[in-house]
Amino acid sequence: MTEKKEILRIENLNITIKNGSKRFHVLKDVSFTVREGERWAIAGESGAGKSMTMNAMTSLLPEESTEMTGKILFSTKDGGWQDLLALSYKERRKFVSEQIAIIFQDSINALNPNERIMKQWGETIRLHRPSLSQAELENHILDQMDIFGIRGGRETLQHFPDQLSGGMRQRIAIAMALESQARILIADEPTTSLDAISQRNTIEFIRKLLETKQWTLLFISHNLGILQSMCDHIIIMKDGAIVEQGTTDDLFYHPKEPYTRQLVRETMKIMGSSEALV
Amino acid sequence: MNESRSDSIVKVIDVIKTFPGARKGLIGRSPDFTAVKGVSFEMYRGELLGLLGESGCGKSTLAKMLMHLLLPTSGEIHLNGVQIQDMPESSFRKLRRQIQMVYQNPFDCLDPSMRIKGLLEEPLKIWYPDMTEETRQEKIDNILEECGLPQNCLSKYPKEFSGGQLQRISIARALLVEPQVLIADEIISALDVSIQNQILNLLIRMKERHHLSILFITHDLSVARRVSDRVMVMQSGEIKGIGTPDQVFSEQSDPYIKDLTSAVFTFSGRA
Repeated sequence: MTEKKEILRIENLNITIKNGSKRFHVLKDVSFTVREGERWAIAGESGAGKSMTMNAMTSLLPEESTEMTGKILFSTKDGGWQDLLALSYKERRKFVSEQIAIIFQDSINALNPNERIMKQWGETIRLHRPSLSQAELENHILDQMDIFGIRGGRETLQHFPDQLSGGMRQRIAIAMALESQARILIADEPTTSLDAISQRNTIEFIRKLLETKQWTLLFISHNLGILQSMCDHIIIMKDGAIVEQGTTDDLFYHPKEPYTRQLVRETMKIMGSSEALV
Repeated sequence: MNESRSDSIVKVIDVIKTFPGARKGLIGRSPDFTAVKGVSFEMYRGELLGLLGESGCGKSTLAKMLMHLLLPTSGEIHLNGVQIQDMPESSFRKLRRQIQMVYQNPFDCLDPSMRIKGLLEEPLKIWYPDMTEETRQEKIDNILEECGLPQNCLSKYPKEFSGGQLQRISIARALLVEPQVLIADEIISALDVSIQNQILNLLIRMKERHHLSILFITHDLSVARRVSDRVMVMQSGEIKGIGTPDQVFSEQSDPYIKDLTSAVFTFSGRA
């Protein structure tokens, strides 16, 4: 098997947050490399730095109060690398939006409550493909609704977000996030606010999407069960630093670091496979 | 449901709770909403009854009715053999000590302007106004030790603690007045996994030591399975199954329970 192409390289990433005269070193020497089509998990307990890593990669941190050093490298079409941190703050946002699609923990609330679904979805598409006619746009949305299992056709599109169920809103938010022509999908705790059955459905749905499209995934969660079913590689973080990284099987069956072992043990107690009942 | 066991402490018979629809315009009303639809069950002394259900299934409404914070539309609720559903608040107050509740987010439940000492003294002062300072201090010391809290926490404020520590304080505070029933509403869902285990162990230990009946409300099937002596599954205001975890999650159970069971992510590893 040929080695897959490297698509993302984080090198010695350090982040310091400034708050008045106080400074917090929140991310410490984070380095990892992701290859095309791989599914990476970032796991750890609250405050470990999972979301901070993602926010740095997606340029979501406020410029004034954040100090970043290190490199966030994206592979370019010509075979070279572009360092996100070498770009101006304004350029970063644009560059990132072409590379990465993001689904947040509260995607469910990501929709504008005051606008009908049709209007917001349409605007998102126009952002990426301004030349589409209204009819093409509508057909595209109806096709996407089919793919994403969003029921109700045109009628649903005329609804406001709060007229739809949580699971439905989550799907629409995901579908909208994926309108961008990105290569990397970052999902930050996308199912935390969902109940068990919608959670399972959303995960299955993301998995199916990944199988049909060749996206690379970065999945952030504290739920090791979900990560295990979804990802082939995993990074365990604690207090802003990487504790251990490797393939999911290696880490869960042969953890080296005491912290990883403890996390595996505690998770086994809570949701261990002896409890499995499918 | 007719013959009740002698160790029954809470008995709920055909309880229905309907919320009237909101006013719409001048004369219109949206339809009424029935959150709990004819629920019957019993809790026994010293058992941990898991109440499993997803958001909106009526589990918190049910808990509020047991706590006498909401009155049922119809049906009966017995606490220690006494019917409480029609009791005015003034009469229920005497019984309130018997049933205590711990909530999901301890940061919201403990007055941030009070030190832990004050927070723990408050329920004792209310329930045992004649208790001497000495006895009060002794009771607080004992409960701190039982809940694995250090003595020096008394002089601190809630904001100085982590979520797990604060949840221990909430449990200590609820147990100080020696209730017979404890309602634990999603008390571990905001915590990290290692802390979740510690709080669950604390709860089980307290149940055994004090012969406490615990209604453990959760949306997490693995947790409900692990800690419950019996488990009760609710969906859309109805009980879909009640019994030991093995009985409830067995092959023959209700289609909803089957769906829920298959939706659970499990984890396997070695450490």
